[in-house]
Amino acid sequence: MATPSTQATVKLQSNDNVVIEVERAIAERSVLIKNMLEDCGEVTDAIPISNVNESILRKVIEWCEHHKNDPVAAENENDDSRKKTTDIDEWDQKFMNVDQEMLFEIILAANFLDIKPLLDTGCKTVANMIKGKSPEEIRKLFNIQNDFTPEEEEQIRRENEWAEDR
Amino acid sequence: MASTPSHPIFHLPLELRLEIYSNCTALSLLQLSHVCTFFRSEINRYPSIIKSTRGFKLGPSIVEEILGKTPREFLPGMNHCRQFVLCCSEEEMPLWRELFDNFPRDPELHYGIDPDKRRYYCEGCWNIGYSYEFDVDESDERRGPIQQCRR
Repeated sequence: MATPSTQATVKLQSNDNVVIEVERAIAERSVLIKNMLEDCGEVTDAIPISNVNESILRKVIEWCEHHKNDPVAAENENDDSRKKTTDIDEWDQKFMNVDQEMLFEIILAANFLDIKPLLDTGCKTVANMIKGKSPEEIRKLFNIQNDFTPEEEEQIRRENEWAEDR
Repeated sequence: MASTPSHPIFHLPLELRLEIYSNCTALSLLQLSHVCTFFRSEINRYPSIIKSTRGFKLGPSIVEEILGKTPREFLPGMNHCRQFVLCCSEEEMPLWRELFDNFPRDPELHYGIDPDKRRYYCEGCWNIGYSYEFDVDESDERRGPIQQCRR
């Protein structure tokens, strides 16, 4: 194992070749980067973040910056405990108030960089977008065509007749 | 087989969509499964996610009390999820009312079911029960009838 480094900042390179310098503590919100730095020790070159473009990387860094002092969840923390609520704090709600394309890019980036709290926030945001909406409203939200056959539509109608005794 | 729609949600890795599903309420997941064949077949492939959603977990004793049947008779699959879906929040209440229409003004919406056999939810505690267990307050014309259980 490499000697622990004391470097204060690291450079991250987006897939469109933009290098962004960030505090190490901020970059280490990403478990992927944290493990890489622990394994490699001092890293002077920019770390390529191959799946993430500049605008998304900056957005992810913004999130990490705001949450840099949050306690890191234990690795073996029960997944269910993270899903007990779909409540999202106010700052995160504003942060996630972006167009859908960016929202799903953030989710992908959080998954790639292994930032579980950000991934959770993204998934909860999508779940909250769906909450309380009818199938037709969800189709409009995601621009989806209804491709059910009339027979399937009839089956679905029956599924919503939950009060019927069978 | 229908082609995959173009929205980014369909191009997420499966495990991320499952993560989104697991953050949905049971009522949301039921509605999502009614959006298109893609969601319908995918959601129904994962009964464990359906069963773990909020609004789905009913204790067997409650299910038996309401339905006279054990959960096992309905599982797995979303096709029978409606039997277990509970409203989880104020945000879902309008949709719940629209879908399950506890006190429909239009008799057509009863689908020919004897009103005494219909089950209702309480707007106070969201418990489910039969009509004789409820009081109806129709004093607010703008909001419409409000049902409250007598428990």
